[in-house]
Amino acid sequence: MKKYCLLLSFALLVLSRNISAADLIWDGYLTAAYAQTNSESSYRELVSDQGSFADSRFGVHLATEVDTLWTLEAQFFAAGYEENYNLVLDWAFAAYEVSNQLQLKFGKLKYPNNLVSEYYDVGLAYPWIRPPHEFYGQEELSTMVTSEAFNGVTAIFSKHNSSWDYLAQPFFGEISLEEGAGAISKLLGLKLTAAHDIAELQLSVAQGRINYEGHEYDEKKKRIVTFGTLSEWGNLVNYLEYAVSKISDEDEANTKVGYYTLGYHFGDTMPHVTFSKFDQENGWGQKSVILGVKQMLNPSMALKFEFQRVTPEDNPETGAEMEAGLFEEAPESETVNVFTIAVDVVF
Amino acid sequence: MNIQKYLVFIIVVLGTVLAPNVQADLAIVVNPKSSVTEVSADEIKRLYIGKTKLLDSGARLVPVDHDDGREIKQEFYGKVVQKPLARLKVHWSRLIFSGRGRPPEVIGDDAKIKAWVADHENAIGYIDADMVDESVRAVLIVK
Repeated sequence: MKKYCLLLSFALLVLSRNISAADLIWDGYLTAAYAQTNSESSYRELVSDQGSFADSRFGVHLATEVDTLWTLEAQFFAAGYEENYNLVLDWAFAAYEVSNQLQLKFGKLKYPNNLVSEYYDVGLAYPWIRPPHEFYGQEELSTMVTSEAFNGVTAIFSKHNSSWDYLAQPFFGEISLEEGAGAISKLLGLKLTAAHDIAELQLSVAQGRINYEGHEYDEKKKRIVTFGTLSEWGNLVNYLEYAVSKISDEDEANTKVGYYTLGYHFGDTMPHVTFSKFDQENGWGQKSVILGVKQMLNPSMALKFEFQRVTPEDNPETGAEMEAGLFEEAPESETVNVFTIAVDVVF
Repeated sequence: MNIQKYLVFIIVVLGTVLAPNVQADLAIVVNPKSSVTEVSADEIKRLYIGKTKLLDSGARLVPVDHDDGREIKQEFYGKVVQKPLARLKVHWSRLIFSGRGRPPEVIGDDAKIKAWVADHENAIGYIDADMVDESVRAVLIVK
């Protein structure tokens, strides 16, 4: 319901300012991906040895400048795993520029606290076909919050000094989980960024209350501290993120998660390698190694190949029949191979 | 072909190969009515990669750009923005699809950019320095 209210507000604001279609700018992105594993067990509820196009997705972004201070923006999203390409409102906000150093945003906003969480679905924007699953592929009810949007408000303070750009972004709101399944309320966070020409450093914290009736974590508070760095030094590309998360009174749920990616641009070709891992204190976890290549076909289109070797760890207390790593059930072998090919386009 | 013709041929070939790649200077231009009289290369770079909308002086300028594939665009992004054009789309896709910014509007060639800047008081663009006349004001020359 909230998404329709947001959409309606957006439309009314556009109409009330007599903005013509010519003032409305639109852009889009698309990823067509095929993945297959060598295990019968479903991985990330997306793919098994049967192969799948379910991670294919596309989005359309709309923006208009109401005047020099106000802008309205919205993004719609559809994916194979979202009820068979059902178009949903990804995010929508009104932004007000208080000064060159301060901007306020209100609406449905993408969670900002990780390096790529704000453009998690835009394949062309990063080296992988999907950002590392151990870090970005967990559900919001677990200790991580990665790709969801929240309804709320944020302030973005920015400062340029010498050759560095500093940014502080506090935010407050609530994440509604799918179709009334629950929420993370009183979400409160802060992201601090220092960016140079060749590198960006991020330190962020967030906490919220889980509201999920009947769930073991209902009414528990969760906290996440994240450090991330992204550098593009000449042809060398590095991504590193590490997070520690906790759920109050649930020490077993404490999670440590991180990954490191190293890539190198050989002209339009960028091979890369990623080491990724998450560990929960109750024994649940997963690690993987990804070898990938991103081949730019033109500045707006990339072809990607990835081979991922996943080693899931199950929870000894729940037994081998339960989930292991990000698999629905424990796979037959210790490691599982995932092959993925994708084409990313922005238009 | 006698020896003199060989020598002339070799000198012409060597001259062509070894001659410095002569490129015209770039002029960063604003509207003559603008209060801006000079800008630094760093300010231009920050404007063109979406890190700011204002100059250090507080003046608000809206950058405009050339069509893709033009040599002057390649030169500008190499010399001033110091980002390969091929990776620029990746940079902008991060900003556009997270609602953090938009690339400069593409206007066309030198003549169209000059006409646009001459018509828009808060516009800023870059053109071949030889094209500068009284309709625009050069605020930075990039050699």
